[in-house]
Amino acid sequence: MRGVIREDDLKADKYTTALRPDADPWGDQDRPINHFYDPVTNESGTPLGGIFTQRSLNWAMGEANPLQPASVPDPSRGNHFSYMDARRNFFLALTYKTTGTTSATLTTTDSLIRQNLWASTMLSMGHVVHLLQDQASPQHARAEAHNYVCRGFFSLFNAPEATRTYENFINYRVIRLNFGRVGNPPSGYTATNLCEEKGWQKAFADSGQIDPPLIASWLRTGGGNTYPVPQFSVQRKFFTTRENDASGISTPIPMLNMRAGLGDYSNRGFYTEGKMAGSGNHAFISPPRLTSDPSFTDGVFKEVIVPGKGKVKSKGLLWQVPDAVAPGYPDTGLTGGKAPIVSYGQWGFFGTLGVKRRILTLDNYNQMADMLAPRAVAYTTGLINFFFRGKLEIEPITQRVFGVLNQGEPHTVNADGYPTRTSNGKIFGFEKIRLKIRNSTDVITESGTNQTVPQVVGMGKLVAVARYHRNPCYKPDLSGERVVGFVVPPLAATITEPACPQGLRTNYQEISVSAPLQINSAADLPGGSGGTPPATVEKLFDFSADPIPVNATDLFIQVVYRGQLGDETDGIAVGNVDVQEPTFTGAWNNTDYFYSDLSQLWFAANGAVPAKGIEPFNICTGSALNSVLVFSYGATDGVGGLQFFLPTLAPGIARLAFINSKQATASSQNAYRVTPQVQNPVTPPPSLLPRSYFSKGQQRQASREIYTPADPLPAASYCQAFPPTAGSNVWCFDPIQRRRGQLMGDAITPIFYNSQTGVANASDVDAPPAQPVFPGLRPRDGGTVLFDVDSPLLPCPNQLPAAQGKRLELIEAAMELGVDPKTLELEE
Amino acid sequence: MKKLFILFALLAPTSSFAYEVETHGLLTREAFDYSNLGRSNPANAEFYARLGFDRVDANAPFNQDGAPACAGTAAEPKLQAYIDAQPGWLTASNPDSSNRKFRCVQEYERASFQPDYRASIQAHYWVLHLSFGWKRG
Repeated sequence: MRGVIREDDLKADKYTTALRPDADPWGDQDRPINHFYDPVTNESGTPLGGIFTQRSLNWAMGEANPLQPASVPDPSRGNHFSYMDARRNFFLALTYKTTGTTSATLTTTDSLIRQNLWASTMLSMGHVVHLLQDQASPQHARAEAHNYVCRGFFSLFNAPEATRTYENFINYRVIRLNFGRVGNPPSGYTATNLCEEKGWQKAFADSGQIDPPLIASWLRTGGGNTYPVPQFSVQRKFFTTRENDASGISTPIPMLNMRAGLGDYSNRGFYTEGKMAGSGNHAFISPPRLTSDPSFTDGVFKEVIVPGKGKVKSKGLLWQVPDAVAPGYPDTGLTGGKAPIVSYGQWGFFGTLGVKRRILTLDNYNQMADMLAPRAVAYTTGLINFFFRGKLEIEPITQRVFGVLNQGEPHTVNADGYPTRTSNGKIFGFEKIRLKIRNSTDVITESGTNQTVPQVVGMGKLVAVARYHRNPCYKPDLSGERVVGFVVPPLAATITEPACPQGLRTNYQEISVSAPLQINSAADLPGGSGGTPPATVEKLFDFSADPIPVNATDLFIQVVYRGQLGDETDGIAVGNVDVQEPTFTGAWNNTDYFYSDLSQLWFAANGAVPAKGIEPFNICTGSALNSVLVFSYGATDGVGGLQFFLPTLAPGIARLAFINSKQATASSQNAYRVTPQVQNPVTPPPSLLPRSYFSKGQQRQASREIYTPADPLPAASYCQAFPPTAGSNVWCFDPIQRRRGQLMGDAITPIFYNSQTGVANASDVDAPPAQPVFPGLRPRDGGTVLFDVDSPLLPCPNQLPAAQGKRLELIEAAMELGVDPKTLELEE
Repeated sequence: MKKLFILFALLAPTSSFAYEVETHGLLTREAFDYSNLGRSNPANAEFYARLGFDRVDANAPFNQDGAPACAGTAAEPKLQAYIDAQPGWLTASNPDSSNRKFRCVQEYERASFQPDYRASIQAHYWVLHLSFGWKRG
């Protein structure tokens, strides 16, 4: 929010030292000349009618006419840190990417640009809230000059000191109180203009303000600021809720008092020294022009005992400042609900209007600040919350899977660790993401009117963004992974680390961005109306132009909506889900061995039970009746299926990668199911049966995005086996499984015969006596990833007799729930 | 350190600051901490996770290890820089990158605060975690 400071930048030549803001690369400017907005007249107050200046509302919003219903960016705006810029930067911080990036040089640059865009978003909001806070200075909401220069020609036009007192005094008060200077001489205060600094110090001290009143009523934390955070349907209403009409100074008082913007409140609520009764072109009607107005009450503000002289009474007028947002807010310093907003002058009881002459004292300024500052804080909070209010809720589909990839497709890895598809050079990765989503943006109840404004979407776009790092060590044969082999429980598996000089994790975040989906109405993205949330709707996002790499680590899926959101023409809503990193699954042809359910032993294939090629086969995911078909390989996909490929008799393996949701419970396991058939099947049984295989899913995620040499990435942990302590700094990198000497994946299953018609409960292929190692593997390319087809997913074909099928489904359901199926009594 | 020589008086009504820097700082800090961006508020955990802020270093939120240090206005991104882009940047009519510049955090910003308090202000804090560098209380 550094923009709060930078919004006061002047042109470089206005500074006398080298310590000055950097020049605006698009043309240096004096930003403060655009800091005035009178919401009654909808003017900035400049006598040149805005030729050289802008209304601060326009300047802040980045719009030529922010009062019109539809928000339209001003294409020639000179302020590049307006609300419009904050919003653009916000969207780009989430989505910016140069297309076709497959080199680390480009992606590091893109990543850094996104970081710079986040900084720009916050900076821009800082500029905007500076301008909003200015509206809590009555001089800015009443367009009153309080300019000053130390010397030179323009010093001839300095505004009177009295008009410059309020802001200098309030800053003096902030500095002395916020930094514990109470009781010290006021030497620590430095005025904005050095040449008048001593004058201010003396004036404040002489006025009895060495120890100014505490500012606790301004503070949210540890203070008394309980002012409700305002809510409005559009951003400009935080400044003013006046309409885009010509009512101007003829606006009736009751209507004026109903306005709920911060500028509305300070404009009508307080006098300014230079425009006590208005100006030539604008006779302010609020606070009342005449002291005799019946809404005033005479009051004694303070009594000061002057030694030897008696008491000196400070008198003035008490008035109830109209507050449309929180009419009963218990401001400090009120008497009967009225605030001492002005004092009587010491020298002359009657002024030019024939009424008691009024002046603004430091006590009045203290009162003003004690009423304006809490509101400035609350409105600033409200605007920040409004800016970031858009919220989407993402759920996995029933099967808890977001993406599927046939890892067996031919691909290589380039020098920067990007997997690229051999056939076309594209990033090798997930090209479709399925998820369910709804708009969960909270309804806005507008301050002042209490009108409910649903935050439903209208016309807009929806994009999914995958955020990730990468494992540059990844290899298509999975030799770049951490590996464990079979061990007899309760022995702990030994992890073999890959040889990998570049490490297992890139140290910057990359993104893949989907093609946008058109949103036409709330039917496409329901929610935002409050009450019971509507059902989520399923979306299929197309990443084919920018796939999510198969070696992604630290993977998150964000969905970003941009378009009509409630009354905001161009709002942004964001959802995020932390998913599991790609989990490698493998189902391989293990028909060179068969399993005897009777003896519970493995036997080498023989003439009666020969090794066979497997084709066609399907792979499903999800448990039990929810299992759906996600991959299919048939005769039309080519010859072979899962064979023992010549010349080495390396078995075929169907190796898919899945992006699953985080587990429902720590023990929940994702279910995968292969439904094989064999070439020249052996009938009657033994035959090949569907087999389910399970995994908790692989975690390859660090606790933080960025690590540095001084704060390095922790050593890799096997988090699914040994869950880390919550909140600990950890780098989870779960290994894959080695069987029969080959790197199979994490969720793995052999495809084999067993002697009975029941579902085998076979021992592990590497359980003693281990089966011989394979000479190699042949990952199966081809086939169809049905998950990626834009149509409803089909139920998994079950090739088992009903009873056996039911048993398999029960096992899957138990595993999904995290229940050990061995503890269940399953009927055979 | 004060050095501001304000503007020509023909634009007098619009030629002065409003609240001074420390006042803006205090108001913003209070507002920020109480808003959805306030990291100390446990209720904001979901918000932080939604935008990915939960995984960034609060003391250097939008950082990138090894990024080139920021120095002067540049055409390429830099560490802890921000983007000053013309309104047309990345619109259909202006798709290129020629209308954006990367600007750096300025010592001027820190120096804008009262001398006694500058030491407690670290520029990179300003971006997200603390709207202003000084410590509460």
